[in-house]
Amino acid sequence: MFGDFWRTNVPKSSDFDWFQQVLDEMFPSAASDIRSVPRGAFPMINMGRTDDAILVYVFAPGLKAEQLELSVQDNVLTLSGTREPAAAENGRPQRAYYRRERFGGEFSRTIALPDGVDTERAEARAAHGVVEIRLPKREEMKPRRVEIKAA
Amino acid sequence: MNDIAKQQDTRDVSTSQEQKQKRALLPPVDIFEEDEALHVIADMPGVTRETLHIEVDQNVLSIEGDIQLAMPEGISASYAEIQGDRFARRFTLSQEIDTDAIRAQLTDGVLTLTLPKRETHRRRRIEVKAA
Repeated sequence: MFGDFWRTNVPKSSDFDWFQQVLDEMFPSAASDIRSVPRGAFPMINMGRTDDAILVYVFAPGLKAEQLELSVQDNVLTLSGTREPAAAENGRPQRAYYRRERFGGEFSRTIALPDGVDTERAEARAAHGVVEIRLPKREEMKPRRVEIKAA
Repeated sequence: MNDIAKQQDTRDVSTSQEQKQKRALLPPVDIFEEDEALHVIADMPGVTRETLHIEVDQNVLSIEGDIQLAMPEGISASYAEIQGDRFARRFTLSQEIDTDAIRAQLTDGVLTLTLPKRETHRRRRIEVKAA
């Protein structure tokens, strides 16, 4: 299951941020990816690939399908929507809050997709606050077996 | 030779235990109080009713849940912001909470907990009589 994500050598974002900061200090000209985001952005995203598809997992708890808008343009996937702050639900704003860590309000995030994705055939489904977006790879990008012929 | 192999084995076990603890993510929560109850709302995407465990032991409330995702075979990660397979968080409760009456609801990965206060601890209005 999720262990697969864990076992890979993707740098931890926080480690990476620290490293990036040191780099920035030492080499002021060093640039970070324009689409990189600080940790804790909403919604959080995981991306994985299989032989025939790219899979994007959007962790959007409390969002109904119609509250999340997905669009793809030029290999850039955009997620946007609004998550109502919980306080507004009962119409009683005068509450004594001890913690407010959950995201509330409008959000918009973009992620760059790898090349060779067939965005026309993209499909998305939601379950338990996670939206899975499946983007099939184009035929020519799939791994092929190369036969070795005997001489 | 054997000794070295053994040592390596034990080290592997210890790191995997460390990793297991690290893999638990802290769910973001909202906590607020009303006259009759405390409310806890936690974001736990991917957690289902079956994998969610809520427990009160000696005034410690613990919330735990495994992230259940139907991922295809042979998937490899290319980018991961959620690096873990479970959520876990603990809170200490005060005596005023009626632990037997705690209610929980899980909708679309959002857990809503209602922790009612005991009758004796609820806020009362004090009437001011005219002199």
